[in-house]
Amino acid sequence: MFKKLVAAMLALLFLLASAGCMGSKVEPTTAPAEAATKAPEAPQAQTPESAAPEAAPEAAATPEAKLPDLDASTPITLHYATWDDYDMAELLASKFTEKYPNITVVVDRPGGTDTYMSALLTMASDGQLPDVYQFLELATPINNGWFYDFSEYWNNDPDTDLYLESLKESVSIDGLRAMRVVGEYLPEVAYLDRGVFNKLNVPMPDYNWTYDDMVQLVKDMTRPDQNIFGYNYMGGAGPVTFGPITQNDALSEFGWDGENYHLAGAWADSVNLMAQLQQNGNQALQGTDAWAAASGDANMWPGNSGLVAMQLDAWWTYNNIYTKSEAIEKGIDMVPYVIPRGNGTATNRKPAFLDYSGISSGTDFPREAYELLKWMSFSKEGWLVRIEGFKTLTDEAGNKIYDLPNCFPLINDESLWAEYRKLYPADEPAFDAFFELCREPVPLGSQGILGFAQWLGEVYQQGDFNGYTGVEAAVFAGALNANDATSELEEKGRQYYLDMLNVFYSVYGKP
Amino acid sequence: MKKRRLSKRTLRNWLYAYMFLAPWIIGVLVLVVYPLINSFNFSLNTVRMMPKGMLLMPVGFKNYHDLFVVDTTFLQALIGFAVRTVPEVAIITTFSLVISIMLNQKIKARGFFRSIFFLPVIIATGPVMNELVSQGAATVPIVNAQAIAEAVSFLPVWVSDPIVDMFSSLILILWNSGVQILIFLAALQKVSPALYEAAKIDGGSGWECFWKITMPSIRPMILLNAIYTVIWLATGGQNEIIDLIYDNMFASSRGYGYASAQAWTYSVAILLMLGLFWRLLRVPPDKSDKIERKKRERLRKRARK
Repeated sequence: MFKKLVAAMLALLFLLASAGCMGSKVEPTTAPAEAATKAPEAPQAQTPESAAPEAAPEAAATPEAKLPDLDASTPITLHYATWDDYDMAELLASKFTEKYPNITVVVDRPGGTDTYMSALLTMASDGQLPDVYQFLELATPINNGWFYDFSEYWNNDPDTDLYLESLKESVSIDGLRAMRVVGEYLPEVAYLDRGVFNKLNVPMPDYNWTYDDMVQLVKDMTRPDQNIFGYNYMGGAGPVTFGPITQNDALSEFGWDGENYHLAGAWADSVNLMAQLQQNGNQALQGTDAWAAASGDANMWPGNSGLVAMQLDAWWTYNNIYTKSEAIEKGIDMVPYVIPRGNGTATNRKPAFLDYSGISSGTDFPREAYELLKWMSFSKEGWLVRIEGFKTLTDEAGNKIYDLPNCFPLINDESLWAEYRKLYPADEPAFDAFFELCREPVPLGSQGILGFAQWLGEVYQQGDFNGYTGVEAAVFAGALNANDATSELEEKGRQYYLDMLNVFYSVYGKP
Repeated sequence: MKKRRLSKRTLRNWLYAYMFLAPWIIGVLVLVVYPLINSFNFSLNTVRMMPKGMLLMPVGFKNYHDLFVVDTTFLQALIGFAVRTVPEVAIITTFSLVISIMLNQKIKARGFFRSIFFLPVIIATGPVMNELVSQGAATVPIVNAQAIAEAVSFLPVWVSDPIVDMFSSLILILWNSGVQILIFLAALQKVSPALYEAAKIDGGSGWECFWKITMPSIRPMILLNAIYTVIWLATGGQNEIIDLIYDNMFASSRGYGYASAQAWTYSVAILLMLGLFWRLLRVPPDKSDKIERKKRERLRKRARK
């Protein structure tokens, strides 16, 4: 009897377990295709087919422009997904609910940078894509129809007038429909070591310096007799990244103008310059004998050695390294300079690390989701909460989370920037200049150009150039003049862009 | 013909049997058969993870066409894997055999040495293995990779690169031998000492004993180890094709459909390699065994009549 009972229970247990697994299986549906192309269920929302060119997101809101009212009575739950900074997200979410009591915001934490996008994909496969979400690359949201077309809200929202001018272009992916905004902005930075400048008795350059000023400075500050190198750079922050942007007034990397790359001129000059600076010993190159002889440790990171006049890097390096005692004790006194502007260019565009956010095309509350998107990204009200958070948020042990802010405002509002400035040391004038000159950021290629990541990986970095893998390797080895590769690279880059644009149209429809 | 009725007892026994088998059957159906069918279905579609669920758009064999014609990275990786695997299997199997013979001798601290060779199977897996490789612990400093690269430079790059890679990760290959050593050891211990004694009495040398007694006795285990090694190498954490498939599944613009096509192509390639090893290493059926079996069948038939 006992045996029978055990056997029956075992069988039942497994039946139940398998039934449970089957119950939570992915719901295959054909509806999302329509959701992506016709997105909104809300009456105000606009279909791509009806999105007229004159309704372009770049268009400034008219004085009469007014957003549809929010639903203030129905209890609504919105999900917001981010890959980092959860404490700040929770604070913003709670303040949003304080303002709109009928809306509850749940902060989803799918994972860190490595797993974030795959976790979002898994959530989407189960029909659980959050209403508002950050994303780390363009291809996944495009391919899977995640973007909601919020042109109608964007075009009728007076607050969008203040959105940083250089970022307005990137709100749209096809130049017509508003589908994303920047969630977090961190600039690329040229850190100049005041300690080294003082040691060599050389004056610091002007804050609004140019590309040529920078090149000259790198050469002048290289002093082999004193083991000082002119510069070092983090991958993705070197002259080859910013040169073609600043020198061409471009919208993104490699002189991108919205439809084509422009590699002849600025890009070729930048690659050749980098090769030349490396060959001439102006660059502190980790792992080389020259660096080992100068620093005593070939593996030491040059950026934190006190032997490099300029480190091209990201904003987070300032918070993470240069304000810490280890750097200060070495006599390192890094002053943040904006990336130098192009020589005689019309704009002051500079590359930045921009994490974008979008609204899910499957949301049931697009209007409310748009309000949350704004709150979490660029709205002034949201930013005032954020500034308060930078000052007050503490971890479980009671320690302050932010010594300095970890991202920059996204609107041209002087009072907001003044509040933001107060978070930094008052006696450092470099910050005043930096916050004045950093307001024309443009995205790097992975967020700014369709098909960029594939082109970069398969052609630029992995293509065969005179027997070398990757064009930069060939130029650095002296096997190729960068100018000879420009037309081939431009042509292939254009093709990757068009292929991805076709994918975009196949998912979202062609207006 | 009289219909045989199953007794209550037999029925109950069947019921019990299937009840106890149920977990396995359900497990296989849910965790193996269903995913297999699903992934093959994915491979014939463009799969989109739309915000409200999954959307399948049939594309026929386009994903398979693309991975052979458009994206040659996968094909190159596949060829590289095949070229690397064949010699690696030979090295691992030979090394395991030699070590297992040594560990089967009556030596001092035999248990300790056996543990040492099995230790990497337990310790050096997953992240630990990756960390060791990244620190250069998988290479033998004495092996001059540059000299090997020059020696094989006359070969096409897709052949020479895997060979150079293999030499530069020689230690890694040897670390992968723990289970194979164990299997050989078990086989060696099954060989009756009486055979060796008889051979020695007849004046057989150690060398002759190895070829005439040991090898024929453990030959099926060579095939088993070769198959085990191919599977191990094909699914291990160091396998770049698995990473490639994973990347295509999540991070690139290609998606689940394309990644599934890659996974199926990879599976077929592995099956082909297993077939090759089976063909090379299988033990051919003994002719006298065949005759004997036929005789027995004939007798059984006659007895029934």
